Order: sequence, then C-alpha cells, then structure tokens
Amino acid sequence: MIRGRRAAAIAFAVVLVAVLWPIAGGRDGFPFSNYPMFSGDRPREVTVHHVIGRNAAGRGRPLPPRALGTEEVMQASQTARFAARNAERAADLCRRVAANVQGLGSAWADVVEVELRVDVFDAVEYWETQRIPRRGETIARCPVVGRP
Amino acid sequence: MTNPQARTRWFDRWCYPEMPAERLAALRIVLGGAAVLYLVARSFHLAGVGRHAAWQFTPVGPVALLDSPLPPWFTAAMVPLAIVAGIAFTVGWRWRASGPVFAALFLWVISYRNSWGMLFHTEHLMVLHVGVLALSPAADAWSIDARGRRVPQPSGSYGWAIRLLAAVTVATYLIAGITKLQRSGLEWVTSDTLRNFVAFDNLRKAELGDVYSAVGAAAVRHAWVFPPLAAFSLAIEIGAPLALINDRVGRWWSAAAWSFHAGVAIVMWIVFPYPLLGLAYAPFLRLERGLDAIRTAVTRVTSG
Repeated sequence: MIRGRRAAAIAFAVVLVAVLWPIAGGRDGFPFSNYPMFSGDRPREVTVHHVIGRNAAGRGRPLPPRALGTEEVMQASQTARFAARNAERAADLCRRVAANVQGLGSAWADVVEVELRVDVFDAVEYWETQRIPRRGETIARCPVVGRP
Repeated sequence: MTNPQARTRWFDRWCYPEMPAERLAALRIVLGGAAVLYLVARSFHLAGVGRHAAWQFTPVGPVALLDSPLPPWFTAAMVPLAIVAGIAFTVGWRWRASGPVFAALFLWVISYRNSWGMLFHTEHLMVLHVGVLALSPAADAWSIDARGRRVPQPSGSYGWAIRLLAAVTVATYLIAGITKLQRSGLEWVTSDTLRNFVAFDNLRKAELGDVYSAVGAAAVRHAWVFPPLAAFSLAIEIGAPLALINDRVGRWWSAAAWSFHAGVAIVMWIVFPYPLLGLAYAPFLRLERGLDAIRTAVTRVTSG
C-alpha cells in the first residue's frame, strides 16, 4: 500500500507510462491499449463476415450473435471473420451454429440451413437505398439437423 | 523547475495534493461496487467464455502467459472468486490482501473474456481504476478495517491516488485522440470517415442479427451532420488533459465527455457503461459529500 511521497511519485510515473505506452508502439491490448477503434480510414465499401440462416424456400436472414455462442455482436463478428480464414474452422463454426439454431426459439423454427458468408456492401448506399450486398461468397454451408 | 524545493511544490500541487480519506474511500466503494455489480450482472457470460472453440483463443494481458485455454470449469470458478474478493474490496475488509487480490482476479477474469479474438474497449478503464485503488490506502475510512478508528486528516497519501485515477481517465481519452490523428490526421474530422464508420457499424449489427441505431442509420443520409460531431469528439479526446487543471474544469470536461458517450450510444448503439454511468469521471467529483448525505439520510430514516 502506497502512502509516502516518493512511492506515490514512482506509482504515478509507472502507471502513466504503462497507460500511455501503447501510443508509441501503436499497439492494441489489454489492459493497455491505443484505443484504435474508429480511428483509421474507413472507406464506404465494407466487408462483413456473418452467418445467415436459410428457410426451405432459400430465403436467408442474419442469425443473432447467440447462434454463434455469444451475446456480443462484436465477438460474433470476430468469430465469423476468424473462422472464414480457414476451411476447417469455417466448417466447425457452421456445425456449432447449426446446433445452436435449435435453441434459438420459435422465431427461427423455419431455418433449415446455415451459411457462413463474406459479403461486400456499400455502407452508405445500404442505408440510403437498398440493403443488398454488391458481391459475396459462401464460405461454409451446413444443414440444421432434424429439419427437412 | 531545477531547484528541488520547486520540484517538490510542483509535485505536491499536481500529484500529491491533500485530500480527505473519505473521498478515496468513497471511490473504493463506488468503483469497487460497480466492478462487483458488473461481475454479477455478467457472471453467466464471463463464466461461459471457456466454452468458445479453442481456435478462437487469442490471449491478452496476463492470459498471454497461456498457450491454450484453461478448462471451462476453471474459468467458471474464477468468476465467483472474483466476486467474493470484490465484496471484500468494496467494504474494505482486510484491505492489504483484498485490494491486490481483487485487482488481480478482476484483471484475470476480464482479460480472459477479452482473449477470444475481440478486445472490448469498454472494460479497460474499469480494470485500471481498480488496479490504482488497490495500490492506495483506500480503506483508511468508511471500511470494516477502519471501524472504531478516527477518520484520518486529509493528506497527500489519499490525494495522489485520486489524482492518478483522474489522470488515468484523461490518458485513455488522450490516447484515443492521438491514435486518430496518427492514423487519419485531421481528415478524420474533415472527411466522411465518421459517417462511414457509423454506416458500417450499424450495417454490421444489422447483418449480424443484432439491434442497430435507427437514428444513426437515418443520419447517414445527411453527410453534413458528421464533421461537427467528429470535431467535438476529437476535441474531447485531445483536450482531455485540460481536465486536470482544476476541479471545475475537470467537471466541465467530464460533462462534455459524458455527452460524447451519450451521442455514441444514440448514433451507433454502442454503450460504454462505465462512462455513461459517470463512473469514469468519479475521480473528478467530491464523491464523499454525496455518500455522506446518503448515509445521513439513511441514519435519519432508520432511527425513526
């Protein structure tokens, strides 16, 4: 426990240097960070990694984060992005999500197939006119077991 | 500043000012209590992070010492342990042990949650504040340890920790501002960058099946809205050190920074609970007066 002037000066210096250090290294981390969120250049054209559920007619809609095993949308986004880099991980995530769909409730009872996708949108156009991707790709696809 | 007496005066004024023990104690109760409530409210989620796939494991902080995830039961067990230590921290019981133990457990639990490929920048400041409190004599008043003892006189021993808590808050904003300037320059204000971020963030939420901000989505259609918002945000961040000039400026800056977070919540549906609940700015307030008023009111009610 720090009480004296000298020890307080050392604590002050050490803590502030540690907190400010990520500026020099340009490094994000925990619990010390350079807080890079929303700092870089952000073009209108954006890539989104996400998982959609399709019904028997082939119509798709995004599955919620809890289908990916989290309550956090950002964690869901990172999980999908990370999985999309590798075929094995993509297949693993697809299976996990398909298993979770069963527990999502009646609102998702029509989902018969799960798809991990990478879609490219114009972010501004998306809100101005139409919510469809400019292009996209299916990374992994798997059926929801027990649904026709 | 070369003469040692002047240096000491400068240090005493800025880093070691006399402040009441009750103010530091109030910060322990409020910030420690908030950390415990956070753990309780998120306990199911925090205990469950061990169930993620091993390939998602990207350790940060002290968790970086690990090569692979720990068994899920271990992760789940750490959360109640941290809650118990946090209660001891908040009430000031056996402070010499409970302060560091809670700070370490809290750092571990939150680091572990951030070790799955996504850093949540909502928790950094909370963990840093708990760490600073753990180093300080924050249980010299209004604590179980201090029962039956007279409240000590105001001292620099309490003031340094309160100033450091405020300086850490300020530093986190300053860093965010500097990073924006490093990566984008003033174009962050003058270009469409913020508009594109708002559009992208809401789009991503919509395409990941989550709630998005209808206000932000509508605002994207009006490009002129964003440069003033970006200028305000950057001014709050780069201007943060001004908050350390004196108490009044600190409170004004706190109010401005709070409104910045309120704006972020409105246009992006990103909620930073720690600043939005005012906890990030608590070191700028005379918190002991509020808690004392509550204590007096409670005593009056309970004594009939």
